[in-house]
Amino acid sequence: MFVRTQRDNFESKVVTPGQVITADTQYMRGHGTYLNEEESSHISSVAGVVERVNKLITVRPLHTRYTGNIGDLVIGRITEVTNKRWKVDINSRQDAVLLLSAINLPGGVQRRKTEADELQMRKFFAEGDLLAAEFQGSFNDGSTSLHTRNLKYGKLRNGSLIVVPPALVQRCKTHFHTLSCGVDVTLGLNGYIWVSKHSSKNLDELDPEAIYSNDNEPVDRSTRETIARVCNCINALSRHFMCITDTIIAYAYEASLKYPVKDLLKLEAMEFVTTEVRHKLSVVRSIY
Amino acid sequence: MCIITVLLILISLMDGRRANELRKIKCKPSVLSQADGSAYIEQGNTKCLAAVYGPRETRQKAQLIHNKANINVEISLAPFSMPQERKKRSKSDRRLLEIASAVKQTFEPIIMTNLFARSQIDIYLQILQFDGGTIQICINAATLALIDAGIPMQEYVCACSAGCHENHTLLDLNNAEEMADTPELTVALLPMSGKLTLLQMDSRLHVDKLEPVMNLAALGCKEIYQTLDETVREYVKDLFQKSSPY
Amino acid sequence: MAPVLISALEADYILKGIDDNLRADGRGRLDYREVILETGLITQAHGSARCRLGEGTDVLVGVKVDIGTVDIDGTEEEVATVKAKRGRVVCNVECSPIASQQFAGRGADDINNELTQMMSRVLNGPQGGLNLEKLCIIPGKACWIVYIDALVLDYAGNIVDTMFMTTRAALFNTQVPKAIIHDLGDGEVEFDLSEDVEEWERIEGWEHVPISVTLNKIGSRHIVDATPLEELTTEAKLHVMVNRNGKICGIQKSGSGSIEHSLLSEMVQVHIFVI
Repeated sequence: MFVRTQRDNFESKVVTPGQVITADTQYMRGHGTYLNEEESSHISSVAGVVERVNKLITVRPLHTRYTGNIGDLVIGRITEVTNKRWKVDINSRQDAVLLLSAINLPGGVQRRKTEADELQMRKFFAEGDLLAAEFQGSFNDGSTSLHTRNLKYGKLRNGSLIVVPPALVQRCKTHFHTLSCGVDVTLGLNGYIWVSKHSSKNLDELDPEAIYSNDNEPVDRSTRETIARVCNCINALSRHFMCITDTIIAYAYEASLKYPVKDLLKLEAMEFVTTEVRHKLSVVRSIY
Repeated sequence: MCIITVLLILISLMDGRRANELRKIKCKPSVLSQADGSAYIEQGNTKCLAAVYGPRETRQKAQLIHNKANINVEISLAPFSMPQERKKRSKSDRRLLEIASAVKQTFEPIIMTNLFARSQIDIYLQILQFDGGTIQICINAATLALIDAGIPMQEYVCACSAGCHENHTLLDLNNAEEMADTPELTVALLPMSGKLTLLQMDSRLHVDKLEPVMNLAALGCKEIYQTLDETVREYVKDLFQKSSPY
Repeated sequence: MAPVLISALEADYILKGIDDNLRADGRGRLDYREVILETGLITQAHGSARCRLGEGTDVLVGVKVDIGTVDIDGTEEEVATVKAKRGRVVCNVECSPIASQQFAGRGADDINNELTQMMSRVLNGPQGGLNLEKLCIIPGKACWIVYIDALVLDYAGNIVDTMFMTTRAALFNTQVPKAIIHDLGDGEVEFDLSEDVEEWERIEGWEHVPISVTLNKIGSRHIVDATPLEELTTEAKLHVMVNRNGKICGIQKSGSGSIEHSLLSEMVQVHIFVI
């Protein structure tokens, strides 16, 4: 019991820069904290909530750029094509690097890159292109790298992008969701979310040549409307700083059906949708 | 003597404040849609917006520093901001450049730039209405915007000005008071450790007066810190509640 | 975070959506976003207004009036006699870097200049609506100069339309001190400014100040009130200024693409529908 109270001492507490979190030196210093000059106490360097995993203390700011973790699914935009690599904006402190050797080359089976590939890098990804990728790791100098060596990653088609604060996207088992309303949502952990037409194709049947094509499939009007509605729902959730998961998007979608899609841009409609979602969440919580 | 003091206070502080009273502060973090962090702050009639972008990829390779982040400060003054006639100032106005470099120097040691090697942090300040105390409002607004952007820093930086008028120390001068040839001292303070990071004085001041004026300014900084900290805490608490999934 | 790049696939999706009359945010081609207008925010200006479009684009306009001399040097006599009886409007537009990273450093110079020129052209001619003759205090000598300063604080597309809306609101909000003219005889005239705020007046003709509707040509169609991504897809823009009587007060094309003649007249027709 004693241990418990001691723990609660600083966990989930709101701290601001310069505030002492604990004077107990047995803890380890994590992100968002620093040790004072005498190394006698842990001090917060950001405004946020204290989190503790075993001996590691971190402070998570709620509004911040994305910090990568290995294995994260991110969505990025190509900013530069250079020698054997692409620079990708992933809403982080620096553009990430995607090496030519870290992508699936067309031609089916895994193969070595050739000089011809180097010369036609823009055929795979050009400046401005959006892609889903996995966060591969970071190096000592602060640069980070991505890879797309899986058919579920790669170029994004048939939809539109929504940008939300990265803190709102929670780490889940999967970040590729198909909602019951029939659209696909890819939740990038860096706060970039792609909403697109459901692709019925099995990954294995995918034509390897087609993975870099620059053509959208035809999207019919009702699908387009659903995509727009889901986008507006996500936007409403983000304006009200609510967590974004597939379930919450589905709740918001249901609540939004009361309004025509374009009315969801209005403040009162957003207010209504988010209040409904909160209500629903509290009902669900009371059941379990 | 007593009557003279009262008169003095009445004359010198035209907005009805006491000599050691700050102007009313209003502040709000996260007011802009595009920036990573932003803040709006009002100190009396001086109003300022701040936006922070980054840390992000350095766009100009010449500015890249290999072991820490590069900080860039830009200040603009709205043409309608002055109390008297309209005046257009270009971004390369010397006075503005000087304040920008003062702000930059103030924040450079405080922001943990070593965590963001090869990146860039931009601080943009826009003064919407001017009524004295440019440097102090710029620093206070930038502090709030940096915290909103989640950029690690050692602690808050708060700035405040103080002056001296015929033996009486005055806190937080407005434009009319600045114009009245009052010696003005602007101080930026780290409220936790009590260290000074910026000190600027115009006009002349008797050396005996320096101590009390500085102490008063430091007190003002601490008061500003209280206000900013309360705002930040409330804001973080609110966001945390909203964002917790269940 | 405002994108400066767009992928070919996104552009294609936007284009097809516009063909379908359903844009990425669910709006039709001719739907505007919600407009929030506030007036009288800057106490140190004679008039001010702030306008937000869809909680994104944010423009603040401050109006200051000042007494100036009539500028008739070097103009022909005919022009000079007209000018002598008039006040002037001076416009200035600034895109603040707090709105978007693109406006940092010298990045905003071009757009500032373009917008400033556009606004001066519209407001200084007879189409501007303001009764410039009423701004004259002593013909040939003193007149009011109206300084209109627009400041773009946040950017989510469609700056031009927001700017004109805000300017109109700020002019509505502007109060000009009343000048009392004393005739000293011998053609000598002097004037005083009234201290009484109750006697201050609006600038006559503010209600005729035009607003702008920007049409963005994307593919073979055109839309109003574009978002930043739509603006990146836009081939050419057409700004049409209209006043409350539905009269066109100015047309300006910008952007790098070209507009077919037939589409142009269709686009011009459209704006009347939008108003």
